[in-house]
Amino acid sequence: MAVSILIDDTGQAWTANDPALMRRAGYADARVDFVTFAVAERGFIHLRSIEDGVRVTLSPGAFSRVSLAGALQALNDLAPPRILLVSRAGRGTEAELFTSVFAFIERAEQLAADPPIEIKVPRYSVQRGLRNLTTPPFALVRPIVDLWKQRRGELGEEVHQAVLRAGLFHRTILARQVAGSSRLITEHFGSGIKVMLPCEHLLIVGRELSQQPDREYGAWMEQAYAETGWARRPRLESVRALVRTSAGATLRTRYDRVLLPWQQKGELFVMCLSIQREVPAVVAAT
Amino acid sequence: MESAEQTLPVRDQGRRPRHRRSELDIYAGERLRLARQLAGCSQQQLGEALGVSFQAVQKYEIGENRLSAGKLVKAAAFLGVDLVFFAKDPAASGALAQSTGFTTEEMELVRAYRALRSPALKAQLRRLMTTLAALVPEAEAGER
Repeated sequence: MAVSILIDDTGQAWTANDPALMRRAGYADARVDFVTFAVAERGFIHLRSIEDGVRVTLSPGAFSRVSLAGALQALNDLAPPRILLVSRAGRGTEAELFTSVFAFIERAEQLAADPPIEIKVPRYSVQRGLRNLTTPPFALVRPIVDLWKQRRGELGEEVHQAVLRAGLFHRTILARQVAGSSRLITEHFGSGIKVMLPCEHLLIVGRELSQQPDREYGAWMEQAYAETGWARRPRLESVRALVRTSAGATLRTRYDRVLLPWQQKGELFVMCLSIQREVPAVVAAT
Repeated sequence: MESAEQTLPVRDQGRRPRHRRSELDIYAGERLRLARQLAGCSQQQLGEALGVSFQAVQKYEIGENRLSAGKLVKAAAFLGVDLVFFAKDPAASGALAQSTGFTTEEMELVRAYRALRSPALKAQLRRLMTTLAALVPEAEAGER
């Protein structure tokens, strides 16, 4: 049986043809179907099951973040493998396909009527399924993940060449785990990772990964690397962080990272391939 | 989809659906607790921001009560995380998705323990750790 629900302006889910909702929404013109009216005129969000997923129809700039939160809860419940976002603005209609609730919400938050939520926590990451690596934002990373699988995590010159070919060398961090310890020593810190001054990328090589100008951020980052080395499995995360630089500025950064555990001659390495989602912006300077 | 539909809390003719504690509520509660901890805020403070008691926040955090969409947005704005923080990626579930929760030092300990081959030595080490842990208050007092 098909799911067809409307999320109202309080974030509550209703069956799409509920007469009580129609009355509440002030629906009177039978020439326009109720769902179209509710989406366009009331900023409701419509969710309908389609083959292998859910179609979400909304009107950009008309719905609130509360309605979106209601849609988020419904989608978390439904756990659809695919989400087709249909944005209706005036006479135009646009469609986008997403393979995760995370990617859908990330996009839909940009379309909400109310201003974005101000991120206040210093840093957080959301772990994401590895199947997201098949989506376009991760196209550059995919050959390296494939190589990781082919080589069963064995690091070598071929891997270095693949990173260079993908144009990701400047967005890569490589750390080596000290034998018999959990300390991670930086082997390479890409110059394209703009949380440090240019010379600092070189200075950190040979030092512990956590020894960055922002020690708290460094320790937090090191923890994720250590866990990847520990689990011996790739890990994909989306990160939001505020990072202090040695110049006294605080940068807001948003990126996705793919962490790959490698081994070479009995030593464990963790590689981070970072995909920038937002150019780091200065949010505070002292 | 059929089973998902059965669990989806949809208003039926204006009646509020009965709440059943689900895996999703537990997940949402865990994320709420994590966001609160990241923001360095107490249950009392979050409760005040949401206009509920700290006991209600506790219930949200253990998934006993479901956070309404309005309160979810209020909580996200107060704690300073965006809505994606609460998005569930089913493919990320399981051991891989979960942080081990170990600190680097704890992982070092477990790794060293696993490197030991002798079961007898491992047993001795466990006894030593248990004894030390039992002595912690005295040891900490000694350090002061």
